[in-house]
Amino acid sequence: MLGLIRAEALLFYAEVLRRKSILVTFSLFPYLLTLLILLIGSSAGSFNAFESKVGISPVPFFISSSFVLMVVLGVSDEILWRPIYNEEMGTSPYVVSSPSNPILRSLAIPIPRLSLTLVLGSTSVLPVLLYYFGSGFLLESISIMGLAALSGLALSSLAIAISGLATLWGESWRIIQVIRPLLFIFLGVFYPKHVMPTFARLISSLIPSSHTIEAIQTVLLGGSNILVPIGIGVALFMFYLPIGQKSLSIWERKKLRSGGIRT
Amino acid sequence: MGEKEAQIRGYKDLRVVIEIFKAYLRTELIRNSGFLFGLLSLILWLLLFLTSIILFSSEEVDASMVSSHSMVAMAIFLSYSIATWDWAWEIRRLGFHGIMDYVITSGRDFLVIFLGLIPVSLIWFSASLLGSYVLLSLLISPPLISVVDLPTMLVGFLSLLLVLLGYSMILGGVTISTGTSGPVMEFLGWILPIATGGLTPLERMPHLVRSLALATPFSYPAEMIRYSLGLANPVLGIEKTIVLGITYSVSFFLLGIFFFKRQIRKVLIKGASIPSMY
Repeated sequence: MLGLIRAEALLFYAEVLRRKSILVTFSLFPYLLTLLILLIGSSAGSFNAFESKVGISPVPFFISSSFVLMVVLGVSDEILWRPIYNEEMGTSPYVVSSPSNPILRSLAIPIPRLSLTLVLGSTSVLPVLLYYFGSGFLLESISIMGLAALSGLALSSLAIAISGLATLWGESWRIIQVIRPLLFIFLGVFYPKHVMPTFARLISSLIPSSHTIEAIQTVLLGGSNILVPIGIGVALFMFYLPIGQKSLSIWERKKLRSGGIRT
Repeated sequence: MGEKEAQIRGYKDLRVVIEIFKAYLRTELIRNSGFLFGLLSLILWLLLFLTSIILFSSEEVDASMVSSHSMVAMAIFLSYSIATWDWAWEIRRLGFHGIMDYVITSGRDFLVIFLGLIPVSLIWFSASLLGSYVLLSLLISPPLISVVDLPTMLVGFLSLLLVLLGYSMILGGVTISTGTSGPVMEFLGWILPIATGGLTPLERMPHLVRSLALATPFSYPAEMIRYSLGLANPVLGIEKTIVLGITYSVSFFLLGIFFFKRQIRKVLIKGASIPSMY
Protein backbone atom coordinates (compact mmCIF):
# COMPACT_ATOMS: atom_id res chain seq x y z
CA MET A 1 0.00 0.00 0.00
CA LEU A 2 2.81 2.42 0.89
CA GLY A 3 4.41 1.82 -2.49
CA LEU A 4 1.13 2.60 -4.24
CA ILE A 5 0.66 5.81 -2.23
CA ARG A 6 4.24 6.82 -3.02
CA ALA A 7 3.71 6.22 -6.75
CA GLU A 8 0.41 8.13 -6.71
CA ALA A 9 2.02 10.99 -4.75
CA LEU A 10 4.95 11.20 -7.16
CA LEU A 11 2.63 11.51 -10.15
CA PHE A 12 0.30 13.94 -8.42
CA TYR A 13 2.97 16.31 -7.04
CA ALA A 14 4.87 16.25 -10.33
CA GLU A 15 1.69 17.41 -12.06
CA VAL A 16 0.93 20.10 -9.48
CA LEU A 17 4.49 21.43 -9.47
CA ARG A 18 4.68 21.34 -13.24
CA ARG A 19 1.38 23.17 -13.65
CA LYS A 20 1.19 25.59 -10.75
CA SER A 21 -1.91 27.11 -12.32
CA ILE A 22 -3.81 24.06 -11.00
CA LEU A 23 -2.90 24.98 -7.43
CA VAL A 24 -3.76 28.65 -7.86
CA THR A 25 -7.12 28.04 -9.51
CA PHE A 26 -7.95 25.29 -7.01
CA SER A 27 -7.34 27.74 -4.14
CA LEU A 28 -9.55 30.39 -5.71
CA PHE A 29 -12.53 28.12 -6.28
CA PRO A 30 -14.08 28.28 -2.77
CA TYR A 31 -14.18 32.07 -3.10
CA LEU A 32 -15.65 31.88 -6.59
CA LEU A 33 -18.44 29.50 -5.62
CA THR A 34 -19.23 31.55 -2.50
CA LEU A 35 -19.31 34.76 -4.53
CA LEU A 36 -21.59 33.19 -7.13
CA ILE A 37 -24.14 32.00 -4.57
CA LEU A 38 -24.02 35.19 -2.49
CA LEU A 39 -24.49 37.38 -5.57
CA ILE A 40 -27.52 35.50 -6.89
CA GLY A 41 -28.80 34.76 -3.38
CA SER A 42 -28.76 38.43 -2.35
CA SER A 43 -30.85 39.38 -5.39
CA ALA A 44 -33.28 36.54 -4.62
CA GLY A 45 -33.79 37.50 -0.99
CA SER A 46 -31.75 38.48 2.02
CA PHE A 47 -28.93 37.25 4.24
CA ASN A 48 -31.29 37.49 7.22
CA ALA A 49 -33.75 35.08 5.61
CA PHE A 50 -30.91 32.62 5.07
CA GLU A 51 -29.74 33.00 8.67
CA SER A 52 -33.21 32.37 10.07
CA LYS A 53 -33.52 29.14 8.02
CA VAL A 54 -30.03 27.69 8.44
CA GLY A 55 -28.95 29.28 11.71
CA ILE A 56 -25.70 30.84 10.47
CA SER A 57 -24.65 33.74 8.28
CA PRO A 58 -24.29 32.69 4.60
CA VAL A 59 -20.67 33.87 4.26
CA PRO A 60 -19.03 31.42 6.72
CA PHE A 61 -21.53 28.73 5.69
CA PHE A 62 -20.80 28.92 1.95
CA ILE A 63 -17.04 29.40 2.25
CA SER A 64 -16.94 26.20 4.34
CA SER A 65 -19.35 24.39 2.00
CA SER A 66 -17.43 25.43 -1.12
CA PHE A 67 -14.17 24.34 0.50
CA VAL A 68 -15.65 20.95 1.41
CA LEU A 69 -17.11 20.59 -2.08
CA MET A 70 -13.70 21.20 -3.64
CA VAL A 71 -12.00 18.68 -1.34
CA VAL A 72 -14.61 16.00 -2.01
CA LEU A 73 -14.67 16.81 -5.73
CA GLY A 74 -10.87 16.52 -5.91
CA VAL A 75 -11.07 12.96 -4.60
CA SER A 76 -14.27 11.67 -6.18
CA ASP A 77 -13.49 13.06 -9.64
CA GLU A 78 -10.10 11.43 -9.66
CA ILE A 79 -11.57 8.04 -8.77
CA LEU A 80 -14.61 8.31 -11.04
CA TRP A 81 -12.71 9.44 -14.11
CA ARG A 82 -9.59 7.27 -13.67
CA PRO A 83 -10.85 4.25 -15.67
CA ILE A 84 -11.94 6.57 -18.49
CA TYR A 85 -8.62 8.42 -18.40
CA ASN A 86 -6.72 5.12 -18.59
CA GLU A 87 -8.92 4.13 -21.48
CA GLU A 88 -8.19 7.34 -23.37
CA MET A 89 -4.45 7.24 -22.66
CA GLY A 90 -4.21 3.57 -23.66
CA THR A 91 -2.90 2.57 -20.23
CA SER A 92 -5.84 0.28 -19.31
CA PRO A 93 -4.02 -2.94 -20.35
CA TYR A 94 -1.09 -2.06 -18.05
CA VAL A 95 -3.45 -1.29 -15.15
CA VAL A 96 -5.34 -4.56 -15.60
CA SER A 97 -2.14 -6.62 -15.84
CA SER A 98 -0.60 -4.92 -12.78
CA PRO A 99 -0.05 -7.38 -9.89
CA SER A 100 -1.23 -4.81 -7.29
CA ASN A 101 -4.58 -5.16 -5.54
CA PRO A 102 -7.18 -3.06 -7.46
CA ILE A 103 -8.98 -1.78 -4.36
CA LEU A 104 -5.71 -0.71 -2.72
CA ARG A 105 -4.69 0.94 -5.96
CA SER A 106 -7.92 2.95 -5.97
CA LEU A 107 -7.73 3.77 -2.26
CA ALA A 108 -4.23 5.18 -2.78
CA ILE A 109 -5.65 7.80 -5.17
CA PRO A 110 -7.16 10.21 -2.59
CA ILE A 111 -4.36 10.17 -0.02
CA PRO A 112 -1.80 12.50 -1.69
CA ARG A 113 -4.63 14.68 -2.97
CA LEU A 114 -5.96 15.23 0.53
CA SER A 115 -2.72 17.01 1.46
CA LEU A 116 -4.05 19.84 -0.71
CA THR A 117 -6.82 20.24 1.87
CA LEU A 118 -4.26 22.00 4.04
CA VAL A 119 -3.41 24.49 1.28
CA LEU A 120 -7.05 25.00 0.31
CA GLY A 121 -8.24 25.26 3.91
CA SER A 122 -5.57 27.70 5.02
CA THR A 123 -6.36 30.02 2.09
CA SER A 124 -10.15 29.89 2.38
CA VAL A 125 -11.86 28.49 5.47
CA LEU A 126 -9.22 29.52 7.99
CA PRO A 127 -8.96 33.26 7.16
CA VAL A 128 -12.70 33.74 6.59
CA LEU A 129 -13.83 31.88 9.71
CA LEU A 130 -11.21 33.60 11.88
CA TYR A 131 -12.31 36.96 10.49
CA TYR A 132 -15.95 36.16 11.22
CA PHE A 133 -15.73 34.43 14.59
CA GLY A 134 -12.36 35.64 15.93
CA SER A 135 -9.21 33.75 16.92
CA GLY A 136 -11.22 31.69 19.42
CA PHE A 137 -12.53 29.72 16.46
CA LEU A 138 -9.08 28.44 15.44
CA LEU A 139 -9.56 24.93 16.81
CA GLU A 140 -12.99 24.65 15.19
CA SER A 141 -11.56 25.87 11.85
CA ILE A 142 -8.81 23.26 11.98
CA SER A 143 -11.34 20.55 12.86
CA ILE A 144 -13.45 21.61 9.85
CA MET A 145 -10.36 21.14 7.65
CA GLY A 146 -9.78 17.69 9.17
CA LEU A 147 -13.42 16.71 8.73
CA ALA A 148 -13.32 17.87 5.11
CA ALA A 149 -10.36 15.56 4.48
CA LEU A 150 -12.28 12.75 6.17
CA SER A 151 -15.30 13.52 3.93
CA GLY A 152 -13.12 13.11 0.85
CA LEU A 153 -11.70 9.84 2.14
CA ALA A 154 -15.11 8.55 3.25
CA LEU A 155 -16.55 9.03 -0.22
CA SER A 156 -13.75 7.05 -1.88
CA SER A 157 -15.23 3.55 -1.37
CA LEU A 158 -18.61 4.60 -2.81
CA ALA A 159 -16.87 6.39 -5.69
CA ILE A 160 -14.85 3.23 -6.44
CA ALA A 161 -18.09 1.20 -6.48
CA ILE A 162 -19.71 3.68 -8.87
CA SER A 163 -16.68 3.96 -11.17
CA GLY A 164 -16.58 0.20 -11.75
CA LEU A 165 -20.34 -0.23 -12.13
CA ALA A 166 -20.58 2.73 -14.50
CA THR A 167 -18.44 0.83 -17.02
CA LEU A 168 -21.39 -1.53 -17.51
CA TRP A 169 -22.87 1.36 -19.47
CA GLY A 170 -21.31 1.69 -22.95
CA GLU A 171 -20.04 5.24 -22.53
CA SER A 172 -19.54 5.44 -18.78
CA TRP A 173 -18.65 9.15 -18.83
CA ARG A 174 -22.24 10.00 -19.67
CA ILE A 175 -23.60 8.25 -16.60
CA ILE A 176 -20.81 9.69 -14.41
CA GLN A 177 -21.77 13.19 -15.52
CA VAL A 178 -25.23 12.57 -14.08
CA ILE A 179 -24.03 10.84 -10.92
CA ARG A 180 -21.58 13.62 -9.95
CA PRO A 181 -24.11 16.43 -9.40
CA LEU A 182 -26.57 13.97 -7.90
CA LEU A 183 -23.97 12.97 -5.30
CA PHE A 184 -23.26 16.60 -4.45
CA ILE A 185 -26.94 17.42 -4.02
CA PHE A 186 -27.43 14.53 -1.60
CA LEU A 187 -24.19 15.27 0.25
CA GLY A 188 -26.04 18.25 1.71
CA VAL A 189 -23.07 20.47 1.19
CA PHE A 190 -24.97 23.55 -0.06
CA TYR A 191 -28.46 22.58 1.04
CA PRO A 192 -28.05 21.12 4.54
CA LYS A 193 -29.53 17.74 5.33
CA HIS A 194 -31.74 19.12 8.10
CA VAL A 195 -33.72 21.29 5.66
CA MET A 196 -34.08 18.54 3.00
CA PRO A 197 -37.41 16.77 2.46
CA THR A 198 -37.64 13.32 4.12
CA PHE A 199 -37.02 11.21 0.97
CA ALA A 200 -33.94 13.26 0.09
CA ARG A 201 -32.70 12.97 3.66
CA LEU A 202 -33.04 9.18 3.45
CA ILE A 203 -31.00 8.97 0.24
CA SER A 204 -28.47 11.40 1.70
CA SER A 205 -28.02 9.15 4.74
CA LEU A 206 -26.70 6.38 2.47
CA ILE A 207 -23.71 8.50 1.41
CA PRO A 208 -20.81 8.23 3.88
CA SER A 209 -19.59 11.82 3.48
CA SER A 210 -23.04 13.31 4.09
CA HIS A 211 -22.55 12.39 7.77
CA THR A 212 -19.10 13.96 8.07
CA ILE A 213 -20.43 17.05 6.31
CA GLU A 214 -23.25 17.12 8.83
CA ALA A 215 -20.54 17.09 11.52
CA ILE A 216 -18.89 20.10 9.85
CA GLN A 217 -22.19 21.99 9.89
CA THR A 218 -22.64 21.07 13.56
CA VAL A 219 -19.22 22.58 14.34
CA LEU A 220 -20.14 25.72 12.38
CA LEU A 221 -23.38 26.07 14.34
CA GLY A 222 -21.48 25.78 17.61
CA GLY A 223 -22.53 22.20 18.42
CA SER A 224 -20.24 19.50 19.72
CA ASN A 225 -22.05 16.22 19.02
CA ILE A 226 -19.95 15.11 16.06
CA LEU A 227 -18.75 11.65 17.07
CA VAL A 228 -21.99 9.87 16.06
CA PRO A 229 -22.09 11.24 12.46
CA ILE A 230 -18.34 10.58 12.08
CA GLY A 231 -18.88 6.99 13.26
CA ILE A 232 -21.76 6.45 10.81
CA GLY A 233 -19.66 7.93 7.98
CA VAL A 234 -16.75 5.59 8.71
CA ALA A 235 -19.10 2.58 9.02
CA LEU A 236 -20.66 3.37 5.64
CA PHE A 237 -17.18 3.76 4.11
CA MET A 238 -16.36 0.23 5.32
CA PHE A 239 -19.73 -1.04 4.04
CA TYR A 240 -19.02 0.14 0.48
CA LEU A 241 -15.48 -1.29 0.38
CA PRO A 242 -16.46 -4.87 -0.63
CA ILE A 243 -18.93 -3.45 -3.16
CA GLY A 244 -16.06 -1.38 -4.55
CA GLN A 245 -13.87 -4.48 -4.72
CA LYS A 246 -16.60 -6.36 -6.60
CA SER A 247 -17.19 -3.41 -8.89
CA LEU A 248 -13.49 -3.25 -9.84
CA SER A 249 -13.51 -6.99 -10.56
CA ILE A 250 -16.41 -6.44 -12.96
CA TRP A 251 -14.43 -3.69 -14.68
CA GLU A 252 -11.32 -5.87 -14.93
CA ARG A 253 -13.26 -8.86 -16.26
CA LYS A 254 -14.83 -6.63 -18.86
CA LYS A 255 -11.40 -5.37 -19.85
CA LEU A 256 -9.98 -8.86 -20.13
CA ARG A 257 -12.91 -10.05 -22.23
CA SER A 258 -12.44 -7.19 -24.66
CA GLY A 259 -8.65 -7.51 -24.74
CA GLY A 260 -8.23 -4.53 -22.39
CA ILE A 261 -8.45 -2.06 -25.22
CA ARG A 262 -12.00 -0.77 -25.11
CA THR A 263 -14.72 -0.66 -22.46
CA MET B 1 -7.18 30.93 -57.30
CA GLY B 2 -9.70 31.29 -60.13
CA GLU B 3 -13.38 32.03 -59.54
CA LYS B 4 -14.43 28.49 -60.44
CA GLU B 5 -11.77 26.94 -58.20
CA ALA B 6 -12.90 29.17 -55.34
CA GLN B 7 -16.49 28.09 -55.93
CA ILE B 8 -15.52 24.38 -55.88
CA ARG B 9 -13.50 24.95 -52.72
CA GLY B 10 -16.52 26.72 -51.19
CA TYR B 11 -18.82 23.77 -51.99
CA LYS B 12 -16.29 21.33 -50.57
CA ASP B 13 -16.00 23.37 -47.38
CA LEU B 14 -19.78 23.51 -47.08
CA ARG B 15 -19.95 19.76 -47.42
CA VAL B 16 -17.28 19.38 -44.75
CA VAL B 17 -19.28 21.71 -42.46
CA ILE B 18 -22.41 19.57 -42.96
CA GLU B 19 -20.49 16.35 -42.29
CA ILE B 20 -18.93 17.86 -39.15
CA PHE B 21 -22.39 18.96 -37.98
CA LYS B 22 -23.81 15.48 -38.54
CA ALA B 23 -20.86 13.88 -36.74
CA TYR B 24 -21.17 16.14 -33.69
CA LEU B 25 -24.95 15.77 -33.65
CA ARG B 26 -24.62 11.99 -33.55
CA THR B 27 -21.79 11.99 -30.98
CA GLU B 28 -23.06 14.63 -28.61
CA LEU B 29 -26.83 14.38 -28.77
CA ILE B 30 -28.02 11.16 -30.41
CA ARG B 31 -25.57 8.37 -29.51
CA ASN B 32 -26.31 6.53 -26.27
CA SER B 33 -29.04 9.03 -25.30
CA GLY B 34 -26.37 11.75 -25.02
CA PHE B 35 -28.94 14.53 -25.17
CA LEU B 36 -30.97 13.07 -22.31
CA PHE B 37 -27.95 12.45 -20.08
CA GLY B 38 -26.48 15.87 -20.83
CA LEU B 39 -29.73 17.63 -20.02
CA LEU B 40 -30.19 15.62 -16.85
CA SER B 41 -26.65 16.46 -15.73
CA LEU B 42 -27.20 20.16 -16.39
CA ILE B 43 -30.51 20.23 -14.53
CA LEU B 44 -28.91 18.53 -11.54
CA TRP B 45 -26.03 21.04 -11.44
CA LEU B 46 -28.54 23.89 -11.65
CA LEU B 47 -30.57 22.23 -8.91
CA LEU B 48 -27.48 22.02 -6.69
CA PHE B 49 -27.05 25.81 -6.84
CA LEU B 50 -30.71 26.82 -7.05
CA THR B 51 -31.64 24.94 -3.89
CA SER B 52 -29.08 27.01 -1.99
CA ILE B 53 -30.43 30.22 -3.56
CA ILE B 54 -33.91 29.34 -2.28
CA LEU B 55 -32.56 29.52 1.27
CA PHE B 56 -32.20 33.30 0.75
CA SER B 57 -35.81 33.77 -0.37
CA SER B 58 -38.03 36.16 1.53
CA GLU B 59 -41.56 37.40 0.94
CA GLU B 60 -40.39 40.99 0.38
CA VAL B 61 -38.85 40.14 -3.02
CA ASP B 62 -41.08 39.50 -6.07
CA ALA B 63 -40.58 35.84 -7.00
CA SER B 64 -41.23 36.29 -10.74
CA MET B 65 -38.57 39.04 -10.97
CA VAL B 66 -36.10 36.78 -9.14
CA SER B 67 -36.94 34.05 -11.62
CA SER B 68 -36.51 36.36 -14.65
CA HIS B 69 -33.10 37.61 -13.43
CA SER B 70 -32.05 34.03 -12.69
CA MET B 71 -33.13 32.97 -16.18
CA VAL B 72 -30.97 35.66 -17.85
CA ALA B 73 -28.05 34.80 -15.53
CA MET B 74 -28.39 31.15 -16.51
CA ALA B 75 -28.57 32.01 -20.22
CA ILE B 76 -25.35 34.04 -19.99
CA PHE B 77 -23.66 31.40 -17.84
CA LEU B 78 -24.69 28.63 -20.25
CA SER B 79 -23.40 30.51 -23.26
CA TYR B 80 -20.00 31.13 -21.57
CA SER B 81 -20.00 27.50 -20.63
CA ILE B 82 -20.60 26.45 -24.26
CA ALA B 83 -17.75 28.68 -25.43
CA THR B 84 -15.44 27.15 -22.83
CA TRP B 85 -16.48 23.49 -22.85
CA ASP B 86 -17.81 22.99 -26.39
CA TRP B 87 -15.59 25.24 -28.45
CA ALA B 88 -12.30 25.87 -26.62
CA TRP B 89 -12.32 22.37 -25.10
CA GLU B 90 -12.85 20.92 -28.58
CA ILE B 91 -9.52 22.39 -29.64
CA ARG B 92 -7.97 20.80 -26.55
CA ARG B 93 -9.63 17.49 -27.45
CA LEU B 94 -8.18 17.62 -30.97
CA GLY B 95 -4.71 17.97 -29.42
CA PHE B 96 -5.36 15.34 -26.76
CA HIS B 97 -6.42 12.70 -29.30
CA GLY B 98 -3.74 13.59 -31.84
CA ILE B 99 -6.33 14.73 -34.42
CA MET B 100 -4.99 18.27 -34.62
CA ASP B 101 -2.04 17.27 -36.80
CA TYR B 102 -4.45 15.88 -39.39
CA VAL B 103 -6.62 19.01 -39.29
CA ILE B 104 -3.55 21.18 -39.87
CA THR B 105 -2.22 19.03 -42.72
CA SER B 106 -5.67 18.94 -44.39
CA GLY B 107 -5.13 22.65 -45.09
CA ARG B 108 -8.65 23.54 -43.93
CA ASP B 109 -9.35 26.42 -41.63
CA PHE B 110 -10.28 25.56 -38.02
CA LEU B 111 -13.30 27.81 -38.53
CA VAL B 112 -14.84 24.99 -40.61
CA ILE B 113 -14.94 22.83 -37.49
CA PHE B 114 -16.55 25.65 -35.52
CA LEU B 115 -19.18 26.20 -38.24
CA GLY B 116 -20.21 22.57 -37.95
CA LEU B 117 -20.16 22.63 -34.18
CA ILE B 118 -22.09 25.88 -33.57
CA PRO B 119 -25.54 24.57 -34.70
CA VAL B 120 -25.16 21.60 -32.33
CA SER B 121 -24.28 24.02 -29.51
CA LEU B 122 -27.33 26.15 -30.38
CA ILE B 123 -29.63 23.11 -30.20
CA TRP B 124 -28.09 22.27 -26.83
CA PHE B 125 -28.39 25.90 -25.66
CA SER B 126 -32.11 26.03 -26.53
CA ALA B 127 -32.81 22.74 -24.74
CA SER B 128 -30.83 23.91 -21.69
CA LEU B 129 -32.78 27.16 -21.55
CA LEU B 130 -36.02 25.23 -21.70
CA GLY B 131 -34.80 22.97 -18.89
CA SER B 132 -33.81 26.03 -16.82
CA TYR B 133 -37.22 27.60 -17.44
CA VAL B 134 -39.04 24.50 -16.22
CA LEU B 135 -36.77 24.19 -13.17
CA LEU B 136 -37.20 27.86 -12.20
CA SER B 137 -40.95 27.58 -12.68
CA LEU B 138 -41.07 24.58 -10.36
CA LEU B 139 -38.71 25.90 -7.69
CA ILE B 140 -39.34 29.67 -7.61
CA SER B 141 -41.88 31.06 -10.08
CA PRO B 142 -42.31 31.10 -13.90
CA PRO B 143 -39.87 33.72 -15.29
CA LEU B 144 -41.54 36.72 -16.93
CA ILE B 145 -40.05 37.00 -20.42
CA SER B 146 -41.23 40.04 -22.38
CA VAL B 147 -39.15 41.53 -25.19
CA VAL B 148 -39.37 45.33 -25.08
CA ASP B 149 -36.70 46.07 -27.72
CA LEU B 150 -36.22 43.33 -30.34
CA PRO B 151 -33.44 45.00 -32.43
CA THR B 152 -31.34 45.56 -29.30
CA MET B 153 -31.91 41.96 -28.31
CA LEU B 154 -30.70 40.69 -31.70
CA VAL B 155 -27.64 42.96 -31.57
CA GLY B 156 -27.00 41.73 -28.02
CA PHE B 157 -27.09 38.06 -29.01
CA LEU B 158 -24.96 38.65 -32.12
CA SER B 159 -22.36 40.54 -30.06
CA LEU B 160 -22.42 37.75 -27.49
CA LEU B 161 -21.78 35.16 -30.22
CA LEU B 162 -18.82 37.15 -31.59
CA VAL B 163 -17.34 37.72 -28.14
CA LEU B 164 -17.66 34.05 -27.24
CA LEU B 165 -16.11 32.90 -30.52
CA GLY B 166 -13.19 35.28 -29.93
CA TYR B 167 -12.86 34.07 -26.35
CA SER B 168 -12.90 30.40 -27.32
CA MET B 169 -10.26 30.95 -29.97
CA ILE B 170 -8.00 32.75 -27.50
CA LEU B 171 -8.55 30.02 -24.91
CA GLY B 172 -8.11 27.27 -27.51
CA GLY B 173 -4.99 29.01 -28.84
CA VAL B 174 -3.47 29.13 -25.37
CA THR B 175 -4.34 25.46 -24.89
CA ILE B 176 -2.63 24.19 -28.01
CA SER B 177 0.47 26.29 -27.51
CA THR B 178 0.98 25.73 -23.78
CA GLY B 179 -1.01 22.55 -23.03
CA THR B 180 -2.81 24.50 -20.31
CA SER B 181 -5.06 22.60 -18.00
CA GLY B 182 -8.77 22.14 -17.25
CA PRO B 183 -8.89 24.14 -13.98
CA VAL B 184 -7.79 27.28 -15.84
CA MET B 185 -10.65 26.81 -18.29
CA GLU B 186 -13.05 26.01 -15.51
CA PHE B 187 -11.86 29.03 -13.54
CA LEU B 188 -12.36 31.32 -16.53
CA GLY B 189 -15.76 29.76 -17.15
CA TRP B 190 -16.81 30.77 -13.63
CA ILE B 191 -15.04 34.08 -13.11
CA LEU B 192 -16.07 35.67 -16.41
CA PRO B 193 -19.84 35.59 -15.87
CA ILE B 194 -19.39 36.71 -12.26
CA ALA B 195 -16.92 39.53 -12.84
CA THR B 196 -18.33 40.89 -16.08
CA GLY B 197 -21.96 41.41 -15.17
CA GLY B 198 -23.23 38.13 -16.57
CA LEU B 199 -25.05 37.16 -13.40
CA THR B 200 -26.15 40.51 -12.02
CA PRO B 201 -26.77 43.82 -13.82
CA LEU B 202 -23.81 46.23 -13.71
CA GLU B 203 -26.00 48.91 -12.07
CA ARG B 204 -26.18 46.69 -8.97
CA MET B 205 -22.45 45.99 -8.81
CA PRO B 206 -19.82 47.95 -6.84
CA HIS B 207 -18.10 50.74 -8.82
CA LEU B 208 -14.74 48.99 -8.97
CA VAL B 209 -16.18 45.75 -10.36
CA ARG B 210 -18.36 47.74 -12.73
CA SER B 211 -15.32 49.54 -14.18
CA LEU B 212 -13.47 46.23 -14.53
CA ALA B 213 -16.48 44.65 -16.26
CA LEU B 214 -16.79 47.57 -18.69
CA ALA B 215 -13.13 47.16 -19.62
CA THR B 216 -13.93 43.70 -21.01
CA PRO B 217 -16.07 42.97 -24.08
CA PHE B 218 -18.24 40.52 -22.11
CA SER B 219 -20.35 43.03 -20.18
CA TYR B 220 -21.90 44.86 -23.17
CA PRO B 221 -23.92 41.97 -24.68
CA ALA B 222 -25.28 41.09 -21.22
CA GLU B 223 -26.30 44.73 -20.67
CA MET B 224 -28.05 44.86 -24.07
CA ILE B 225 -29.93 41.57 -23.49
CA ARG B 226 -31.13 42.66 -20.03
CA TYR B 227 -32.26 46.04 -21.39
CA SER B 228 -34.13 44.39 -24.28
CA LEU B 229 -36.05 42.26 -21.76
CA GLY B 230 -36.87 45.27 -19.59
CA LEU B 231 -34.90 43.91 -16.62
CA ALA B 232 -32.24 46.62 -16.16
CA ASN B 233 -30.85 49.83 -17.63
CA PRO B 234 -27.27 49.85 -18.97
CA VAL B 235 -24.98 52.02 -16.83
CA LEU B 236 -23.58 53.76 -19.93
CA GLY B 237 -26.98 54.36 -21.54
CA ILE B 238 -28.34 52.14 -24.31
CA GLU B 239 -26.97 54.01 -27.39
CA LYS B 240 -23.42 54.12 -26.05
CA THR B 241 -23.66 50.47 -24.94
CA ILE B 242 -24.75 49.36 -28.43
CA VAL B 243 -22.00 51.31 -30.24
CA LEU B 244 -19.27 50.21 -27.82
CA GLY B 245 -20.65 46.68 -27.69
CA ILE B 246 -20.57 46.19 -31.48
CA THR B 247 -17.10 47.75 -31.81
CA TYR B 248 -15.66 45.78 -28.94
CA SER B 249 -17.19 42.43 -29.95
CA VAL B 250 -16.04 42.69 -33.60
CA SER B 251 -12.52 43.72 -32.49
CA PHE B 252 -12.38 40.92 -29.93
CA PHE B 253 -13.51 38.38 -32.52
CA LEU B 254 -10.83 39.54 -34.98
CA LEU B 255 -8.24 39.48 -32.18
CA GLY B 256 -9.28 35.90 -31.39
CA ILE B 257 -8.78 34.81 -35.04
CA PHE B 258 -5.43 36.60 -35.22
CA PHE B 259 -4.22 35.07 -31.94
CA PHE B 260 -5.37 31.57 -32.87
CA LYS B 261 -3.67 31.68 -36.29
CA ARG B 262 -0.47 32.86 -34.60
CA GLN B 263 -0.59 29.89 -32.21
CA ILE B 264 -1.13 27.50 -35.14
CA ARG B 265 1.99 28.96 -36.79
CA LYS B 266 3.88 28.35 -33.52
CA VAL B 267 2.59 24.77 -33.41
CA LEU B 268 3.83 24.22 -36.98
CA ILE B 269 7.32 25.26 -35.88
CA LYS B 270 7.50 23.76 -32.38
CA GLY B 271 4.83 21.03 -32.38
CA ALA B 272 1.71 20.91 -30.20
CA SER B 273 1.89 20.57 -26.40
CA ILE B 274 0.03 17.60 -24.92
CA PRO B 275 -2.75 18.89 -22.66
CA SER B 276 -2.82 17.47 -19.15
CA MET B 277 -5.70 15.39 -17.81
CA TYR B 278 -6.85 18.14 -15.46
